[in-house]
Amino acid sequence: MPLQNRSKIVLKVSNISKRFSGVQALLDVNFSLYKGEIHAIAGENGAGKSTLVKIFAGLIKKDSGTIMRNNIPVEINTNLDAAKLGISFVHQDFGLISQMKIVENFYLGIVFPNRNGKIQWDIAYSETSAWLNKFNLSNIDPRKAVSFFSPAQAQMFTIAKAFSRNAEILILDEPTASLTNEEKNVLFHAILSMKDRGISVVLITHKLEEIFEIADRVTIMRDGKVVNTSFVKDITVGDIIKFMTGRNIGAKYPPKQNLQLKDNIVLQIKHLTSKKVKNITFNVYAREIFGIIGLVGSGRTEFARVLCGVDPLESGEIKLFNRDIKFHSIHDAVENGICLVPEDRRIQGLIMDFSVCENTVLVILKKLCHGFPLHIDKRKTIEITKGFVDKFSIKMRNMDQKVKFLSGGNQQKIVLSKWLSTQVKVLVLDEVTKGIDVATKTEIYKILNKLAEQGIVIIMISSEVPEVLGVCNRIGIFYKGQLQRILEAENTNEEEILKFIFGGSNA
Amino acid sequence: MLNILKIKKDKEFLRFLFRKYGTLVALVALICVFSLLEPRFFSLINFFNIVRQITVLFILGVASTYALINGEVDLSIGWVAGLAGILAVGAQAEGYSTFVAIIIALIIGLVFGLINGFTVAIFGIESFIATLGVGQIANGLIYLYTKGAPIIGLRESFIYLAAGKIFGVPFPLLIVLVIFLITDYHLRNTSTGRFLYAVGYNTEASLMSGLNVKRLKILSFTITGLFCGIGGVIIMARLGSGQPTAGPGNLLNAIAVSYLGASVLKEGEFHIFGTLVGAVFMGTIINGLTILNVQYYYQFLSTGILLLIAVGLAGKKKH
Repeated sequence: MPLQNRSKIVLKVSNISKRFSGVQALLDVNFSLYKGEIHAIAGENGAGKSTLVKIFAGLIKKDSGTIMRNNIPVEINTNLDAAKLGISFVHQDFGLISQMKIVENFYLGIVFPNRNGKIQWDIAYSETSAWLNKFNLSNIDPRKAVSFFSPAQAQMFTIAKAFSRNAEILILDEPTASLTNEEKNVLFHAILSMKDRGISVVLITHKLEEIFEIADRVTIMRDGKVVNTSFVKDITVGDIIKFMTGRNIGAKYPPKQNLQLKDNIVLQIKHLTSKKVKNITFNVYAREIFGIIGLVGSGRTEFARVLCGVDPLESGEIKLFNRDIKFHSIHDAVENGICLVPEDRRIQGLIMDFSVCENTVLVILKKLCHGFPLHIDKRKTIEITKGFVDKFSIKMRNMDQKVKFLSGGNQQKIVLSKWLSTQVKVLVLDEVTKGIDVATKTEIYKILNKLAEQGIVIIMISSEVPEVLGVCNRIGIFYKGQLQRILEAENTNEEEILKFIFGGSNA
Repeated sequence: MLNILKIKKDKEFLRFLFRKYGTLVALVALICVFSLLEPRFFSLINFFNIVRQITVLFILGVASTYALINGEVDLSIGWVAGLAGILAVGAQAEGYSTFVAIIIALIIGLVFGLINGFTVAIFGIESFIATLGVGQIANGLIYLYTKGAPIIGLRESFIYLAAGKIFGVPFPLLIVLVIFLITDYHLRNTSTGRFLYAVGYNTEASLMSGLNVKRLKILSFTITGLFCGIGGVIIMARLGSGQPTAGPGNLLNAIAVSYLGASVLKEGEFHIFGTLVGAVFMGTIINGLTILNVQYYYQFLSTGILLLIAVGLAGKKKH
């Protein structure tokens, strides 16, 4: 789509710099946004993308530099300043109150239609509905609580709400992080229709393919600086990765193990059934990485939770190395060597206020605690942690640093270390590369490859088709709580997988 | 430009120092002010007075700290301590030995701790309301048992717990030292201690890591209960009789002591050394106000203000 009004720059920032307690987050950043353009910002974690847009949104104050809105110099010190200038920032976590109704969230921050202080609910409902209809969101009932809707719907609602405040510039920070492919398409469709109305969109994304799908221009950041701004049509994925990393990282996916399949079954799952999944049966072979893909709610995460003892198993058997195993809790599953790298590492994977050391040995802490008086073997703890830090090249200040200060990729490596410190036999990973930069993703794929080679069963759940195609030997596709189909990665392609994800034909 | 950056850095550094050592500096300043206002304050006799004063503050502070570390709050502390103390005194009045009386108090503390733990961990009731309910039960039992009247008849050996000396060292000081050493060691150097922290920081991640979260929650409430039992004994020993109203007033002090402690050295983290400093802080204020002949009722004012400051300093991330 050609840009209209290319001459009109709605937002221009020059020489923006920002330091956080000794760290240069942004240095002399220049950035401009045309009217009606979709401008992607790409970069690895810590490159400064979020800091930059938060300055636009008034959530962070710049140290120096100028901001021009429609060629007029402005100061943006608070989010209210940004709102007055028509800049709207949509948070990664949407900033909604999930227990409250859509209509209440719609008026959050402004005044309800009222008469002498009494809310006129009928007007509130009809105004909200009218606005939602404008965005083709008539399937969102303003009388229901936000929690009733899917993340995608909540996200679309947030965007619609942003426009009700006369936003002319919309900033989206990883809007597709928790969306399925289908939901993403709906969202992108909405974004394109905004664009047609002359609204400018700044889009931060980790998924490079999205840039090519929707953006007009892309700005690539590295170490707090802008390294390149190009029209998307003039640039390739390889170029973007090179600009992002400052080097050629080579192939995104490491070469796979060559398998003589069916020679050695390690894990057998038979008729596994719980409240959310029905009759799941499949085998995993030695040295194999088994991928699982499906929509949110298809049972992929629910299956992982049953397999790892989080949710109760109703019926079915699990055989590991030809031995029947039964468990009633996460603790039992871990004792049996079945471990889950959960979807959300901040909430489920790590104790953010614990150090690198303590998180790494958390599961084996009891075994490290002995002697009289009873004490934790500090030397051994450090030795084990150091082993993983070196092996996975985890970047941190020291091993006593709290993990909340580390980047997402390093955090995820610590979750992996935590399980590898135990006698893990089956490692189930749910969205292990979510929100992690490209270079670290590749590192994690390599780690998984090596683990599979060492004989650990890897079951990798993902919502990204290219990822499962690139990393896994076979791919199980979940649909409505059932294992719909198992495909060999070599003999399939994206279209076929997508077809089955959406319930496909000949099921 | 460079200068501005440097000043900014210095400011950050000062803020860091203040956050880390602010409470300790304030404590030293407090001692100086009281000493200047009243020379009698800075004397060995008064030092021993303060020690006696902080014994209960510290023991119940430890009780409260164990619950807070685990991400819960125990509001039954004062009542449970009161009930345990009263029943110990009652046992003495019935002719039981001091040893048996103390054991009774400890068992009462443990049992009420277990009840708190079960209601929170197994029945899933918010600790805020569960412990308030359990506390009221303890309160009811206090009045059913005493009919509202004090119980007298404590033996010398019982009173010795609060007033005695070994080689010139007040016995309460020894109790404080022993409890400090054991609990500080337990929370820092054992796996169970670290697990209690882990559950408090992130229950879900602890669960996902295979920790037995329910058992750990019950354990922390039980330890809290145990220290309530010990605290109850000391409260009554100090008074020399069983006062039905002596326990409940300690709740707010205990929580204030924990929160004051969370502002010591580590930002917003509850820990035993902090709790000890918190108890000394609180004890110093109460003692100083008493020695300056400030009306008793002002103590409530000072406790309230101190609690608010402590919570502010301890940071907003906890509760």
